[in-house]
Amino acid sequence: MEVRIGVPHMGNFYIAFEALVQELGITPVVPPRPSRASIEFGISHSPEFICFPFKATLGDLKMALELGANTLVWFEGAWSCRFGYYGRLQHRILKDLGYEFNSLIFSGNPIDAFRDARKALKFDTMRFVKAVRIAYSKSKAVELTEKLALNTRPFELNRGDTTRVERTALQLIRKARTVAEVQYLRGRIMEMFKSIPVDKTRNPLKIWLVGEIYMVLEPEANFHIVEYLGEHGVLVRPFTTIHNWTFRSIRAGRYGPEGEAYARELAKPYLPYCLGGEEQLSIGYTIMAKRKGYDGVIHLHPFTCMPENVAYPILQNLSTRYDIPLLSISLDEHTESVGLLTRVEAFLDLLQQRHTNG
Amino acid sequence: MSTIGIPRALFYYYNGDKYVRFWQQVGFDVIVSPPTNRKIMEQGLKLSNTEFCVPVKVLCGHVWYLRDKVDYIFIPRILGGELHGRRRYGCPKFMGLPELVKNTVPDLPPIIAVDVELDPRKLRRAFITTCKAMGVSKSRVVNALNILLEDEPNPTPRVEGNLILGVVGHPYLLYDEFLSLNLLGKLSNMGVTYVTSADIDHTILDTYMKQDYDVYWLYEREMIGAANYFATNRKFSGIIYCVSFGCGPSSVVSEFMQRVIAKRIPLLMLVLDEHTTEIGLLTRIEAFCDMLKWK
Repeated sequence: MEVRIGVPHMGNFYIAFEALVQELGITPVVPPRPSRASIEFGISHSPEFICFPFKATLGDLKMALELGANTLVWFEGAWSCRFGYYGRLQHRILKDLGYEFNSLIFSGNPIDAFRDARKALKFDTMRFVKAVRIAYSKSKAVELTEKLALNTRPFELNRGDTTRVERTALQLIRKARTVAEVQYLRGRIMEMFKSIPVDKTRNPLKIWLVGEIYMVLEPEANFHIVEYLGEHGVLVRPFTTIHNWTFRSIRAGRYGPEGEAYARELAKPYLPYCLGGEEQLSIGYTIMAKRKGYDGVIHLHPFTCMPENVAYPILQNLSTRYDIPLLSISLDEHTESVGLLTRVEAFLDLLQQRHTNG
Repeated sequence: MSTIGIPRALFYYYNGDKYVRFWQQVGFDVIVSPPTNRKIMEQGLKLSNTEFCVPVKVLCGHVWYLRDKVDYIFIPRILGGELHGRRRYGCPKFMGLPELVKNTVPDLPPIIAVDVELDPRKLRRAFITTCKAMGVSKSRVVNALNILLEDEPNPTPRVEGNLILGVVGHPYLLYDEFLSLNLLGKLSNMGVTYVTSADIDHTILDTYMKQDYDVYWLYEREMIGAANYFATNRKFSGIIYCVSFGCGPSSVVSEFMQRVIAKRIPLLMLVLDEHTTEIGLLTRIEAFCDMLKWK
């Protein structure tokens, strides 16, 4: 039987995943980006007060199954956050609805997961190494594209140029076949971004985006807030990238002056233990934003997210004590784009006044 | 002599009396806040973030009540530990409870945050370090620690009656009469015999835990075991499953309950929050019991 793996969306995660799976000789099934319809499906079949990412990814998996996926994969961890049970619960819900597929749930420990995956999907280690290499180089190229886009967008002369170039670049990366091709593309992408007409004299606001990872990285869930901020002349910096998240088991993005390890270290006095989510990072990067002279912090989290809920009162207190402008937004399926963007706009106005006054 | 305040919420319902005896033996006066009342609840709601579950909001109310009456407030950090070959956790809110309270309730006396782990060695070390920082001699703590470490047998009550129900829920919800709107009392008044998930012995729970539902949250694990026990034991005619609105782990567990347990035994799921009314609750329990009697 041909194995066809379906995958839920989170930002540009699908590009690396597709490359990895294709190289292993498995067909990837990438569903369309989360939409009203897929999210609506997720909501109607999910537990009442589970977090938003669960509902959205359930919709994605259903779309993938309808496109012909016959295997779904999830990594089960023990992080005390609900994320560890997404796979089990989603697969059970879909099976109860009558979908037929092969459910593979791997351990959160990368070595165990690799061993089980090798047995279940029948590939050999050398091929896996090759697949990881191409996935890694692609995801690194995606990271580069995202970073260039973030840094170019607030300066662009014609609104929308950067987003257009970013989309083309991502498509090019997606189509590339070999590591060498991706390496060549990196140079080309840099040139593409350089050719965008910019006005470097602008002095944009600088905002750090922290919070729950799905809400920060999935544009459909946060109403393209990154693009919105960029096009309104804000230099926005999400606290992590898809690349760091995908390759966290090999410690991508952990070290360095803006790495996760340092952020956690900064958060220790306020929250000594990791609660299984990004709560320590939210706190750590908020402090880092202040130290680096950023103008403000936007904190995004899904409604009833457990770890971010603990971080919320701490962030509020930090914000008053250290004078860091903070906008904390809880998002779920009932959030409307106008409501969210109005709040963001009001926040930007306040920041702009502070920015010009001193 | 300094006094320690213990809020009568959340962790108090697991082994609160042990904590009280422990601190008394160490040589402190202990004040436990009164059972939840309207004033405490309203204060908690006013102070805390709207997204917390009700029990956490109520805890903030209790801490607010204690804050000017005591020198220290005791809030353990329930971290879990290794159990049956896997690492177990408390709910994330339990793991960050001291910080959560510190940042929610203003003007607090110092909080004693002890890391409570399942491993007795680590537990002992955590209590000794904390007490040392408070200026208590080690020997007194070591003696008192036996109170915390002793394992009390918890014999499952023998029940008889026409209609026996299993009540599954967090003890801090079920036994807080104000929060659960006296659910257990209402059941007794209606002549229903019941056993709660907290009544069942741990060894029994473990045998009723299947691999598939062996979740990594300590307390939810017990609830799934209890529900399995009720569903398997033919004496029980139904289960009442209580959750507080916004409870994170319960949103996962409730789905297992509804998809697996409810196929084997009638199940009534009650979602409780600060807006639940007494009459609404009573009507639902009555209807559920009537249906079970006709069956």
